[in-house]
Amino acid sequence: MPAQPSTEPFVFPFAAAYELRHAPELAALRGTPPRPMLMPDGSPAWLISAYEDVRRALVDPRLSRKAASAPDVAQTAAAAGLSLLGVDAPEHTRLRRLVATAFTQRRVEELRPGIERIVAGLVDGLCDLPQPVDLVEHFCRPLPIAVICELLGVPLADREDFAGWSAEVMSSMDEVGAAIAARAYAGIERYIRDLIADKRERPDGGLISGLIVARDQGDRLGEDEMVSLSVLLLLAGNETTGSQFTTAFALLLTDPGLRARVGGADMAGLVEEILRVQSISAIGGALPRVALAEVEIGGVTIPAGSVVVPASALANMDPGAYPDPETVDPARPHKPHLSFGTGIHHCLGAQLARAELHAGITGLFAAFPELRLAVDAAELALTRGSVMRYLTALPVRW
Amino acid sequence: MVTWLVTVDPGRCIGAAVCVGVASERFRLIDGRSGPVSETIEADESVRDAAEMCPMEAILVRAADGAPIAP
Ligand code: HEM
Repeated sequence: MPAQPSTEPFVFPFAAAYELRHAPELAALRGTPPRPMLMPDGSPAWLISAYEDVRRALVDPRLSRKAASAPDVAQTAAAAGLSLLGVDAPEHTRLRRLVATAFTQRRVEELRPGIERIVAGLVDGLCDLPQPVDLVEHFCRPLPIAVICELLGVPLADREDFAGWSAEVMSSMDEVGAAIAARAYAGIERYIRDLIADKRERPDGGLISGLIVARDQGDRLGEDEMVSLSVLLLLAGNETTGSQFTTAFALLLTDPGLRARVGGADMAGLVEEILRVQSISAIGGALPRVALAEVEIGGVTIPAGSVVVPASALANMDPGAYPDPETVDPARPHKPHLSFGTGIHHCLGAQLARAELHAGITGLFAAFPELRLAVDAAELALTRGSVMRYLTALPVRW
Repeated sequence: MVTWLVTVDPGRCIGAAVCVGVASERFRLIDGRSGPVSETIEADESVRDAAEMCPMEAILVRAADGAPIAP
């Protein structure tokens, strides 16, 4: 339990979040009122942890992503302030409307057969490998990349390049990590500029070509806006969905009761619960905001100019919102978790990610009913040096 | 004054609350699902934005005569 009074800044226990099981240090923060905290770089911020408080913070227009993307604000990842994620309304509205229709539930239903084909292709690939096979490298990481490439119209042959870039861009923001991330970001931006030049000459049905039309024929966004939006679309779904797959499989391969429910009637509920309990990063996917004015959240006054951390990972475990929060219960009553955020920045790819998780998890267990860990569960570990909660390896047999 | 009719299909809404972020005066979440604060409103571009940004296409905006406005 926190010994210090809640007005004293405390160092958020980031390291404790990089365990598969929920650490007691983090459990102590659940459902608590807003309190001052220190970011990993020592800069001050306000931690928002209670479900209703995080929800309110994420829909509050006075809590700005644009201001939080200024270079002097503690950054959680190199690409955190990119495009949509670095603007507020009305800029955000204009940009997001350009791409929103490509990610609706209806569009995702049309993409589903393609996703299932990608899953089947990866399953075939696994069969050709000597066991044990690492699911992280051969399934969790390539799956989201293949899906987004198809959607954007990125050639298959280039995928290897940005599998590396996608991971590096999420390096921890210490000195070494920040340099790696900056280099990876530069690589991916150069790649996108070349790709756009190429698609201007040879348009296809992909989303990048769609953005070029919006730019060149409708003047609905600037050239740099088009580039950064394309980079965001290419990056945003890879490490996030990849991370979620790794923790999902870790959970399912170590809990026979849950695994038995894969492919069952409550599969959608199972995916939601996995999203709720296994966050993609220490504080969850929602990024810090900066208060443009004094705001009151959960009865606490937060001064203008403060960095505000809406910790979706903690909100999802608030016992006030989810009784017995650590229990994965696919039949919980409807209560939208905050793993995709909420409000204007609510994950653009949420429905796509859900479809990928659904198809990937059911597809893999259907193909390999005997799927099991090839190491002791205690050996499973999350990668150090990445912002994402990502298993280093998941060796399996079948 | 131009009147619009706003409805949210509770069977489609998943409570992402993009609409609450875009048009906080016009939508509110109850039990994890969005609904219009008032079904009859004065024409409001932010409500059109909300309908066009809804991932579930759960928001329907119509003119007073029923003609579709968004999505
Ligand atoms: C399980 C997988 C995923 C998780 C947990 C996740 C989580 C999130 C979260 C929490 C946000 C909001 C950030 C904030 O408000 O600070 C976000 C935004 C975003 N996500 Fe995802 N994401 C996932 C997969 C994807 C996929 C597959 C795509 C596909 C392109 C994607 C694209 C985006 C984009 C473009 C944004 C920015 C939206 C905006 O600012 O308007 N995400 N994501």
